[in-house]
Amino acid sequence: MRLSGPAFSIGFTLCYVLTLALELPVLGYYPLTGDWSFQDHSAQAGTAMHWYGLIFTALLAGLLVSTIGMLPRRSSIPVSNKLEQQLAGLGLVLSWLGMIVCASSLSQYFV
Amino acid sequence: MTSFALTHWSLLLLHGLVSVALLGAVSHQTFGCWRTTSPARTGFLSRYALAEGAIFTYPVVVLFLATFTLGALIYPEYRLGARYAIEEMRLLGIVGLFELKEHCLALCLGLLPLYVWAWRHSAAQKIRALSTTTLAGALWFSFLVGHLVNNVRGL
Repeated sequence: MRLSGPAFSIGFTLCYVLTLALELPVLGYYPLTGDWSFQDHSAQAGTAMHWYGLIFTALLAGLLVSTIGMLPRRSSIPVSNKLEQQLAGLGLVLSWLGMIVCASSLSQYFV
Repeated sequence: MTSFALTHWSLLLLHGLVSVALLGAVSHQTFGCWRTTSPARTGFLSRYALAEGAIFTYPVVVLFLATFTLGALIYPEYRLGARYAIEEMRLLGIVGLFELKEHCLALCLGLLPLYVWAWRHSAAQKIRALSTTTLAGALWFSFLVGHLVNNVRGL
């Protein structure tokens, strides 16, 4: 199955940044007990890590968007190179914006 | 030293070594993207930038995924040990830089398919140069932050 690279990047980045910024629930890992859970068990299980869950969620979103991005090709609808390049440019700009949003969400560490 | 600590030290060392190979490949490719000098010119930088960028694409992907996986494996040890020690030293800026490194690398993981797409499409020269430079910048930043954390308080 072929996937659209630019569409994957757009889906991944949007999902990662929005999930982080809106603090949406993701799968958490509790390294002290080795448990995985969508619910907050930090009172019993200690430190929670949500980075793996964030990546897993964003990977799923990227795969979904990239599969949708390939549908026009499968239906023989012509997709111009220019449109694909514009999508790639959008994906690149979104990744830069994503890094800026992530940096600003960590501002409490730098004051 | 316990076998657990030995395993973590080995993984950390391997993580560092693979990341050096990755940095070498992506830096070479980035220089090639922005090459402006004539191929006939001699000199270290001119020759360094002469490398055929496309041949680095898949090695960069494989090395990135290997470095990322190794980093993800040793990340819990940082969270349970090194991070608390750094917080106790009140070096919160370093904790913040490490958090930023994790986010940048995750976003680079999402950027990889776009980067591969750009290197497979000859018309996408600008996207290719910008995505490769973004990847190189984020990787150099992450390498330096990882090194800094390791110097302050290793795993």
